[in-house]
Amino acid sequence: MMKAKMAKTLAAAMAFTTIAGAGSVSAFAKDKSVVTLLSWYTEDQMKPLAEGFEAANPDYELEVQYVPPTDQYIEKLTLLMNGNEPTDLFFMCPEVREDVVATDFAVDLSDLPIMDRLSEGAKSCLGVGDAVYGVSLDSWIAFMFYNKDIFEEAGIKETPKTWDELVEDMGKIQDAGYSPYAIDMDNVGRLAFGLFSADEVSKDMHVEDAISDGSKKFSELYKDTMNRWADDVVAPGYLGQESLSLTSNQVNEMFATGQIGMMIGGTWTIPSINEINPDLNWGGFAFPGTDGGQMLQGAANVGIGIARKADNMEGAKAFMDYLTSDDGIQAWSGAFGNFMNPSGVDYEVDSHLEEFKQYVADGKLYWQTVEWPNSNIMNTVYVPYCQNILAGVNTVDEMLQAMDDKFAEYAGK
Amino acid sequence: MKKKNAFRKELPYIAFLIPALIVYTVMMFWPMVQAIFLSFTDWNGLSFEGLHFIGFENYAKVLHDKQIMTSMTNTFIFAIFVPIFVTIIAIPLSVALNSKMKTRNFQRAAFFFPSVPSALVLGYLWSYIMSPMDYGLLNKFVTSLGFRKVLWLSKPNLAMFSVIFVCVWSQIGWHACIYLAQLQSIPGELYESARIDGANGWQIFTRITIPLLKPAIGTSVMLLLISSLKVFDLPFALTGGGPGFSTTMISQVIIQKGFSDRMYGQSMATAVLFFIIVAVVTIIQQKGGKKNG
Repeated sequence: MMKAKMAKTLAAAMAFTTIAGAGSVSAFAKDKSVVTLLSWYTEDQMKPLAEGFEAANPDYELEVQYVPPTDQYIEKLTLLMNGNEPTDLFFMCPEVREDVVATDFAVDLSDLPIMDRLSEGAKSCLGVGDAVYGVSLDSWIAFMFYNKDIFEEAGIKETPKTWDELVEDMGKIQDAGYSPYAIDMDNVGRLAFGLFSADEVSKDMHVEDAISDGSKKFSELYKDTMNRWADDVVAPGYLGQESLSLTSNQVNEMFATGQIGMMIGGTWTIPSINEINPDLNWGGFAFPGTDGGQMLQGAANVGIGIARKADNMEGAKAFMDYLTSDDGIQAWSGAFGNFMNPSGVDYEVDSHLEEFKQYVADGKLYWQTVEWPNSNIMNTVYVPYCQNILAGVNTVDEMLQAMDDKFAEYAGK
Repeated sequence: MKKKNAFRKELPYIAFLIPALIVYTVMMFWPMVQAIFLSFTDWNGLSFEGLHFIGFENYAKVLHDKQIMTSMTNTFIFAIFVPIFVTIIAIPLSVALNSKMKTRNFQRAAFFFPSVPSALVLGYLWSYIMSPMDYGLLNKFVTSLGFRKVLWLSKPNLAMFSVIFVCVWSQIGWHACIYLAQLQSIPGELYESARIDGANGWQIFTRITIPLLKPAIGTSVMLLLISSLKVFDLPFALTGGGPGFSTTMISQVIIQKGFSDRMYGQSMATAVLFFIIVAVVTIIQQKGGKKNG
């Protein structure tokens, strides 16, 4: 009887202690205010920023809710925009600019001090008009990779500075017995983008606004570019039809194993090349235009914004203060290793890409699908038609007409 | 009274069917009804607020969309040739697998195996086999014979041929098994009598085997037709629907219009139109099968 009483008392005491302990833990947890972030990047990738923020702001805890980019992320963000329970912070991307304005979802960050250190491109990429809805701290770039040994063998002494020189170099590489250039099937028309940027965008960054506002058709702006691409690169066979069945990994492999002279890639391509052939003697150059204009492909990357209906507005603002501080910017640079947008930041990139820092600082990078309205839809026409031009199924005029029709169909939507 | 007793007897069976019926209604029937309704609206995919009835506008756009019409054509080409080739190859194969060979069991397993992996896996596998890269097995074989590399997946007509080839290759074993099961139900005395009467191999095959395989042929062709009409994973994995639109199937367009383009109304209109076409084809095929006994 005594034993039973003691057992019961002990059990009750243990239960009480557990409940009290849990209560005290939850009470402790309640001291930290949670700031939620709908994230384009994984928790692991965001860890340096989360840790830095929490160290600088011990009262806050960052909760990262990861959704894989790009379509899934945009779908989730669109759902939040049309619902009533947004996360406090989110990654702003160019594809949702119109929706953000239509739903009044985000806080205008154009008054933040960091904006004085960002280029127009970095601000406009995540904004509409004068408003800016996300702080883009870095940029991705793409450029022409070239095999220095193949160039030497083909008698090419320096990288091409004009489109004609590029075409001539392709001919020399082909004469030397190599494939001059290859690209994966989903990016067949990418070189044409590069030519357009170097020729037109280098003179006027807003040249394609005319397509968005309907004052000019796609065909009016792109006719010359697409014809030059088709006549100078496709017709002579410098871009072979085998590209229509190549994946980006296969193109990387062909380049790394010295089968092709040139390919288009970005910072994300370098680890793959280093893995396949770390001894490859390669370099990079910007896309050359007809008159010597040069541009990189690229855009300001996605950046963090604050939801207007954030539950924890104070916490969201505290995070933004940290993110745009020198510590936050360095943490971002360390986490992602891209080209940094804010001026006056000391950061490291691959040694082959040092010269491109100035391009980024000067905003000499452009990516069509960031600027096009409904770009993911336009790509469903642009990519297959470029493939068909390479396959000899469609002409450039047919492609231009299809693009005009598609832009017209989705105008105002 | 009799009716009441009959109903009481049926009650346990009905009770067992109800859960399946509920699941079917919720997961299949109701979404289908909703899709038909929403195909006549400008639904934005997110909420029903601000929904407008727009009549046949989505259907008109679909019928004028070149990409959709091309993908329908591709789908029908695929759905015609796959059943034809599978049937032509699977029937003689089943006869061969039914013969007395020492390695019969191994051969049956070997021919059946390609139908086991998912179409997505097969698509990716064959994209490497048919690759123009140095490790592309098919081109290694072709160039070893002294011919030039063949761009199996880069030329539009060849790409469609390649998709059909891979599908046929993966299906012949499985459908040969359907014919094999039917063959084993044919009495051996029929063949004996035919041989006694002086019939040769070809006559036995055409006058006895084929007629008695008709039920299996009907089943096999129906299954092939339906699966070919709604194909998505194999062409998507093998060619991504390219080059251009040459191997884009209607199912890919429906998904793309809905989830990428966010034109849900057009996506559902396309799906409804295609459903009607598949239903008509199935009914014709069923009626044709019944007529031929």
